[in-house]
Amino acid sequence: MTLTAKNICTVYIDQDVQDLPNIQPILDYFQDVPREVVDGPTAVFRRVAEAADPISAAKEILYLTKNKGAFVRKCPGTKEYTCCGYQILHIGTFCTMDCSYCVLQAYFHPPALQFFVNHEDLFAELDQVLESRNPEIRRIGTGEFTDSMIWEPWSGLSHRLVERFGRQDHAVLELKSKTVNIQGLDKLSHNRKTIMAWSVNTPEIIATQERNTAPLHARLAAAAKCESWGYPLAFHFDPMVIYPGCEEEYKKVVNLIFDHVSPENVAWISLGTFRFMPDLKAIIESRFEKSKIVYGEFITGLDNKMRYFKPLRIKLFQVMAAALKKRAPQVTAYFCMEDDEVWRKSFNRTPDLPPLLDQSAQRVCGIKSGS
Amino acid sequence: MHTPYETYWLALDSIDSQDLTFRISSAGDDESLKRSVESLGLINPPLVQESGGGMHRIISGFRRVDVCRTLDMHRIQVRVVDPAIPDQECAMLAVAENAGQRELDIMETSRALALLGPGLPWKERAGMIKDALFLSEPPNQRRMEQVESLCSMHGEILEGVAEDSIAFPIALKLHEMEEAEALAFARFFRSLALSLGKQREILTLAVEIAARDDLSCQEVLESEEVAAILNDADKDANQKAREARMHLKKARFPQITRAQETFEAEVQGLNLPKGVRLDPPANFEGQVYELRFYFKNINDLIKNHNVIIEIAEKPGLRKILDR
Ligand code: SF4
Repeated sequence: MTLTAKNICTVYIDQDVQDLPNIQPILDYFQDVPREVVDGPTAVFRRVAEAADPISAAKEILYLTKNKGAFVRKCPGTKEYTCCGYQILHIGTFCTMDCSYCVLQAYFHPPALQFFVNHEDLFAELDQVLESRNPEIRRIGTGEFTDSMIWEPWSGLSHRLVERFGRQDHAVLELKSKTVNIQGLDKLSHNRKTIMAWSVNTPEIIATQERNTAPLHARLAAAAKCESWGYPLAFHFDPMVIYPGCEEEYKKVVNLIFDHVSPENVAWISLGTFRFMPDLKAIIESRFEKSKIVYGEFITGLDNKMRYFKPLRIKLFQVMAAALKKRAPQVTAYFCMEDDEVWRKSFNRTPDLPPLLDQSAQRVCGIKSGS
Repeated sequence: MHTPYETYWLALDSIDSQDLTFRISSAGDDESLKRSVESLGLINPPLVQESGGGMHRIISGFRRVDVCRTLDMHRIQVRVVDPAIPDQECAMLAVAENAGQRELDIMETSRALALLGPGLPWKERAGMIKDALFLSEPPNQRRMEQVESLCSMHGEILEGVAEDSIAFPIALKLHEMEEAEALAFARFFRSLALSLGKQREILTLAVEIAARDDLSCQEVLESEEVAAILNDADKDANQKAREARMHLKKARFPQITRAQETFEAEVQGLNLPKGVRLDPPANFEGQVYELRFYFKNINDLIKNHNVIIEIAEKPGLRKILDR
């Protein structure tokens, strides 16, 4: 679901950003929504925290503010599991969609739908990062603390980002979404340096656990459209949920993807089974009463997150590895936060993950090798 | 608070023991109370208030009045408060009289709290509770509300709490459930002697199995397998509790428990010498196994060194490590 004027009940504007040049078009878009200028986030947080269901309330309150910290940050991996070495471009927080398993529900206290409007700072930092040609920063994504595309209809940010990445050849931008808000991407000078990525799941999981997201066929149709506009693509099977019959269902999703798009244009496919901070369990139980996803066979992982019992993960990954090998052997598939044993037993190898993904980006997106 | 009263003799027939508005006391040792009244008389006369038609309702002293009746007394000395005194003040008197005589048990505290300013804002209630219960600190709202909810709980749950077979935090959880489900748990817990931790574990296991399999908790707890364990006359309560827990654990985590059982069987097959122990990675998640042995001196250590070599050469160990 896109963040539109229809699903926002109040726009708060931090007084520090009210005079920024890009604020007026945003306010014009939200002209019929009540607004308030605030002196810092306290009033917003209070309003959210006082609601009976702060998580739902936060999805309807937009806070336009400044990112006072770094825009480009290293993705927080853990040493116990293999990390992909991703960089996060921090454009905002939280989301208007409502997935039962969404980690953001437990991550922010309280959650807030913040959009950082100090884009001049963002682009200044990004210019610096891209110009430094740091070999450790080759893949940058906006979809870690939010969905990349919910801000589309009014922010104009993707447009600027896509074209900025199109003017360099060192790194790729990944825009990851569960929406189909791609209208603004046509005819941009992307130069194949933006990867359009979708999180995918089985139709059953989408229908039961991913409120207000686009259905699978719509996501794949959007991916096909982006491919026709020349964009490289990526897909994330994350979180995969184990339930009776899931293996066949996930295999079908693999086939459906390649019924829509061609493997040569897919930079990577990630696989990750459902894992969660222990605090999320009670949130899911109270906000998604019918959801059964927390009743799988979970253990406490080495990173203290709950994850499926390892043999169950390996079994599902083996099925996926075989399905991907059969349908798209040339596509780079990788695990998000798994250890050597899982890699070995599912893919028969234990890779150095960041270079593997960098090479994929070189092959599919044409970034230059080396620094 | 100082409420004036008059002390005089009253016919027992004019005291209404059916009006339980202010009753706080749980059943107690009526025999010793009886002996005390027989030998010393009523040292502390009950507190009553005229309730119309020449009758009096009891504010404090329900057990004393009952004992006097069983002793065939006709008239007893009472303290009578003014009929104009409002109910809320009478409630304060009832609670303070009881709390001043003994430490209230959890059920008595619950009844006392239900009497003190129901429906009033917490700030007002907190003051009344502090005064009537002689608390040194302001009461904790959440805790007090939890205790108060006890007296509206189903009788079977209350009996479980009173006999200590249902822990208070568990009773609170049961109170939030549908009655049939709550009673299934209450019966289950009352038939076994379980610690709070184990009650909590069983509650979580059963609730999660039920949610996962679209069953009611009743169906989980009253399944044939559980019934067979609980009705086995050859097992004592501890054995039944252990087996019931294991059964539920297996049903909730079938693959994990199977892996544990397989591992234990395979380790058994290694015939490890006494005092040597092999543990799997925690939750079978990591890849590090632990071999444990003890030694007192260098000779012991050297002996263990040889034992380790022998273990490492066992084909059974390879099978375990290659899982
Ligand atoms: S789309 Fe992503 S960010 Fe949004 S609710 Fe779902 S999981 Fe969370």
